[in-house]
Formats: sequence, structure tokens, C-alpha cells
Amino acid sequence: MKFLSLVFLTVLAFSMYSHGDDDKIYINVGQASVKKSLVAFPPFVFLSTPSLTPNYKQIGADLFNTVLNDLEVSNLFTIIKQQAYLEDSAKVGLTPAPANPTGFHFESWAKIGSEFLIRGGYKMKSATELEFEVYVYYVPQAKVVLGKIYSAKANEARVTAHTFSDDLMKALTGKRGIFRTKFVVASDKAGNKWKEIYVMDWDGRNIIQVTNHHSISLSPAWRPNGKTISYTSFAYHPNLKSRNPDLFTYDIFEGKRFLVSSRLGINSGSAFSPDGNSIILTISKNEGPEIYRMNVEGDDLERITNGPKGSLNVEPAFSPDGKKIAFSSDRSGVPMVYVMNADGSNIKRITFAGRYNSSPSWSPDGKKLVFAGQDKDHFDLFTVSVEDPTDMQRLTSAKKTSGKFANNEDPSFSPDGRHIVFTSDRTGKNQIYIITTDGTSERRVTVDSHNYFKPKWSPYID
Amino acid sequence: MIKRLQFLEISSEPDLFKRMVFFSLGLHLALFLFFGLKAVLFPSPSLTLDAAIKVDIVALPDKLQKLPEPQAPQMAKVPALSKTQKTVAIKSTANKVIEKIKKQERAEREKKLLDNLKNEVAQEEAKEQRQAKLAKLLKGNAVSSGSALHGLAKSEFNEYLSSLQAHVHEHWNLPEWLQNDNLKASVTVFIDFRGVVLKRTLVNSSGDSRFDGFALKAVDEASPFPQPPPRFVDIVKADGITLKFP
Repeated sequence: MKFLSLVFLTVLAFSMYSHGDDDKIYINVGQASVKKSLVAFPPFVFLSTPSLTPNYKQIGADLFNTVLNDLEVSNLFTIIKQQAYLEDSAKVGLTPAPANPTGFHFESWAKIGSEFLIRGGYKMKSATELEFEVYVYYVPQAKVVLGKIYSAKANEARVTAHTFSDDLMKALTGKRGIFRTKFVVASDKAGNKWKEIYVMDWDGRNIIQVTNHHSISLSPAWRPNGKTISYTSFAYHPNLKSRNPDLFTYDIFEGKRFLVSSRLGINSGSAFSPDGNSIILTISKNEGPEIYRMNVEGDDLERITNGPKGSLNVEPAFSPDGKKIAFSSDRSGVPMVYVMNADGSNIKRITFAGRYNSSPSWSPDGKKLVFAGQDKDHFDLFTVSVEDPTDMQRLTSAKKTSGKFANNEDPSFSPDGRHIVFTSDRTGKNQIYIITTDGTSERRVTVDSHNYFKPKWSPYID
Repeated sequence: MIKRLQFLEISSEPDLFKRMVFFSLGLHLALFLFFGLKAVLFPSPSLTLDAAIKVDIVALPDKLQKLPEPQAPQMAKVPALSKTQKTVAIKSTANKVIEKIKKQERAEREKKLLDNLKNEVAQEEAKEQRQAKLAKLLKGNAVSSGSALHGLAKSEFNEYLSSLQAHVHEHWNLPEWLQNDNLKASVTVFIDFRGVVLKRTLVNSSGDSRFDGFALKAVDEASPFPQPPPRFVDIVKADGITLKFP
């Protein structure tokens, strides 16, 4: 094996350069290293009169800080500090000289090494109408990458900023940005030992409560259209005079709620199929918990897993192409991650190491799973290749203030596959964090003293 | 002839078939013999096949020097017999002695001939060497040996190229939004004996001017390149080095 790899390396070394048939010398330089682009991001300029809207500064700050956070999370940019800027952006126009006589000069931005320059300005057309004008320039070629004017309501500054960030991602990478996506999560912030379901922007803002069962509500999930969620709540059954974990769906925009499955026993851990027409979940019906499939109304129940007797089969998740289901099962003695065909056949065990591996989530390209695995005394996030389960990587290893390792659990992939949302108790409470898929960059999302459970990243939302 | 034909008609079919087969064989044999005898008795000149030789005419040829004619070997004179040896009794012994002397003389003659030939060959070889030395000035028709590197020189050159590749690769960066398998560009670089880049040109654009910009930036930042070993300076100067990104 060593000899073969040596031979291979020698051949590869010689293949890096060659003599062409016209005796020219060629060298293959090889794959480039990835480097973040330097971006100059001067403050946005207020373009109308201050007297009309006294809160214009707050609006400007919202716009700017939202875009700034988006740029940092995108992981594509390094933002040049404002102290380094040579030109005072407040004194020059948004467009370049000489076409604009009072415009900015590309040289003063090229000198500090910036690859991109973002010039933005905003005005209040009235007390309630906002207009945001923004240009993105590629400095080495003095070209415009993106130039847009956004019109919105005065209280929609953050959404406007996120829309611009999405547009910038699309213009640069050709892919959609995630800046208008959301999380659905269970939390105890309503107090009274209840857990309710909340929807929030991915950056932790705009938290909206969507359930009021005054009970324990858990394991929410998104329908692929981004408009409906499903969740389980311990609802009261009058005929039983007790509570039963029932499955509900809720249309966020229309405010309509449906009871989908109230079968006796567990109806939880739900997930939608990629076409949005089926739900898979764990149902116990007074037997052992098995995975079932049903339509969105709760009918056409179809059993997918079948034992072995005494085992739990929970937390199912559809692959992005709808052909496979990942789930957690303790049939081997301890909970491990498995993958099977959508009809329940061809069950393949994915994880073999660790004491408790659960809550698998698929990457949007269907090649990887992220799950929470218990290592000794705490949980960490791991990504694993579905094709080659030996290709596994640990993403987290944060410590609590006490010095002990924190629990990082319940991961969920972003729709562009570049980030994972999860909960961590490193501050003492279960807070929401996001991490890049290579594990290099973590950010805290919620900053309070409540607990959050099982967040799920929404699909792209228009 | 008619009788023969009649005979053929009268015969029954299987017999007829047999006779026709023999008839055919006979004709074949006759043909074979005819051409065989022709080849033996009247042979045609055979074809000669020579290997093709690549010839470079690099200068007008010199006038050929005329070689001296080889000297004809001279026979040694046989000494005449004295009168004191003319007795009948000793005629037979005299004849034997005469024969012995003749043999010796013959041997001496042959030896002298051989020596002469050896000298001539040595002279001709010396002449050829002198001519070869002159021929190195590439006058007249000559076969050129080419400019490819061989053996040790070639592996040294490859080592130099791999050090160049490692050096440029260090400076080759791309932002994540340009990481695309389809983008490829080539830059030809001309360096001097110090490794300083004298000139660089984009010979194959990737189609994306920003990607091309990063390729050229990698070349600019990598200058000066590792110094080429002295004997390779001309080789890299001639057509330059073409760097393929990635």
C-alpha cells in the first residue's frame, strides 16, 4: 500500500508539469487556498431631512447593523475597520467620480486593499416610508456588482437589510442567501413551567409566540413551503381526563390550527416530506414507539419501522430527495443513527461509536448527516458522510463557565448547507447557537436567560 | 481435339467431374512451373530498402579532399643461386633448399604486404578523425542531434519546475464565491536569470475577468520566482513558462 501510494505520488509529481508537443513548459499550479474578501463598509448616509423623522438614526443603525451581521455570518468577507478608510463617506456621493462630480474615488479605497466597497444611503419618504439605496462595487475592476433601491415601511428596516444581503449573496455566488430564513423552536420563556412554540428570525430577532396551549409543546418542524409548522403538544383529552402528546399543524400567516393526530400514546418527532404532502413521526399507540407515515390531515397511516420488539425508533428525518429516512433507534442496545429507504426497507446503521447518538438532520445536498452524540459525559455535534460513515467530524467542544464540557444538541442544517443551528447549555441555560459546517465559526443567537429546545431551520422564505 | 471432346461428352457425370479436377490441377501445375522456371532462369533485379535518414543542410558543403591512392605492394627480388651448388649429387637437396627458401621468401612477402595494409588503414583512420573534427563545424549535410534534455539534466529540470509550482501555489488564493470547477486560466511568464518576472501574459482566459485577475495577482505576488539553474536560463527564456490555474 505504501509502495503504491509512493508510486502514485511520484507519478502525480511528474504530472504537475510537462513538455507539450511544441516543447512548451507547462505547470499545473493546483487548487487555490480559500481566502475571505476584504470589504470596506462605511456607514450609511442619511439622504433626506432629519426633521421629518426623529427616529431616523435608529432606522439607519438597524439597517447598518443588520447588514454588518449578515456579512460576517456569510463567512465570505473580512470587514476593514473604519479607522483605515481614507475617504469620509459622508462627504462624497454613493456613486464614483468622475461620472459623479461629487462622487467617491476608487483609488482611496483601492489603496487600503479593499476588494469590495458597499456604499449605502437611506431616506424617509414620509414618517412611515423608507427608501434604501445601496451599491456594491468590485474595486480592482472599478465595476458595480449590485445597485438597488429598496422601498419599505419604516418598521421593516431589518427585513430590507436582510433582502439586500440575500441579493448580494445571489449576485456574488449565484446561490440564495439565508438572511430571511427563520427558526421554529420550543421555549420555556412564557414561564409557569410551560413550553410553547416560537418562530424567530435566524438572527434571534422578531420572536413570535405561535402556541398558547399552556402545556408542554415540543419538537416543531417546518413544512417545505415555509408557511406551516407542525408540533406536538400535551393536549388535554376530556374523555381520558388526562393529557396525551398530540400532533398539531399551524399555518403561521393565516393563523389556522389543525389537530392532525391524537392517537393514544406518542405522536411526536414529526417531519414533513420534501413535497410537503406527508408527515413522518413516531407513534406508540400503546405499543413500542415506531415510525409511521401519514398525509397532512393525519389519515392514510402507514407503518414504516417494525421493531425489533422493545426498541424505540424515533426522530425521523426525510432526505432532501425524499427517498431515504434517517432516524435514531436503540435496537442495538444504545441509541444510534440509522438510514433506511422511505418505505422502511434496507436499514443501514450509520454510527457505531459513542453511547447515545440521536437527532439526525440531513444536509441539503443529501450527502451528510449532523447529529448529537454523547461522548463520556456530554453531547457534541458530529457530521458524518452517509456514503462513508467512517468520514466523521466533531464540530463542537465548548466548555461551560464551570470548566466542564457543555452539551451541544438538536442540530438542524440551514437551507444553503453552510450553517447548522443547535442548542448549547454552555452559559447555564439552553441557548440557540449557529456554527459553520466545518466547525470553524460559532455565533450565539439568543441572548437571554430562557431555555430553548429543538430548533429547526426553515426552508428558503420568499 | 474433337476426339477428346467426344470422349468427354461420352463419359458419365462422376467420371467427368474427376477428369475436370485433374485437368484443372494440371493447368495449375503448368502455370506454377512456368513462372518458377522463369524466375530461376531469368531473374529480375531485387528491391533494396534503406532506412530513411533525417538530414539537416546547415551550410554549403566544402570541397572534398582527394585521398591518396593506395600503394601497390612491391615484390621482393629473389637472389640467384651460386655455381658451387651445380653438382648432380646434390641436385635433389639443392632443389629442397630452393623450395625452402622460396617458402621463406613468400612468407616475408606476405608479411610485408600485411604491414603495408595496416599502415594504410591507420593512415586512413587518422584522416577520418581529422575530417570528423572539421565536420563538427557542421558544414555540408549533417544530422542534427536535437535540443531535448536527457538523464540527469532532465530530472534536475523537473526538480526546478516542482519548486516553481510550490512557490506559485503559496500565493494562489481565491475567494469562496469564485471556487468553481469550470474556471481555468493560463498565464505565460518570462523570467530572467534571477527569477524576476520580466513579462507575464494571460494566454487563456477563464471567461471571468475576476478569476483571471486572481491568477495574474498570484503571479505578481510570487515574483521573484526561484532562480533557474544557469544551464536552464536559456530554456525558460525561449518560450517562457505557462502556468495553468488551477
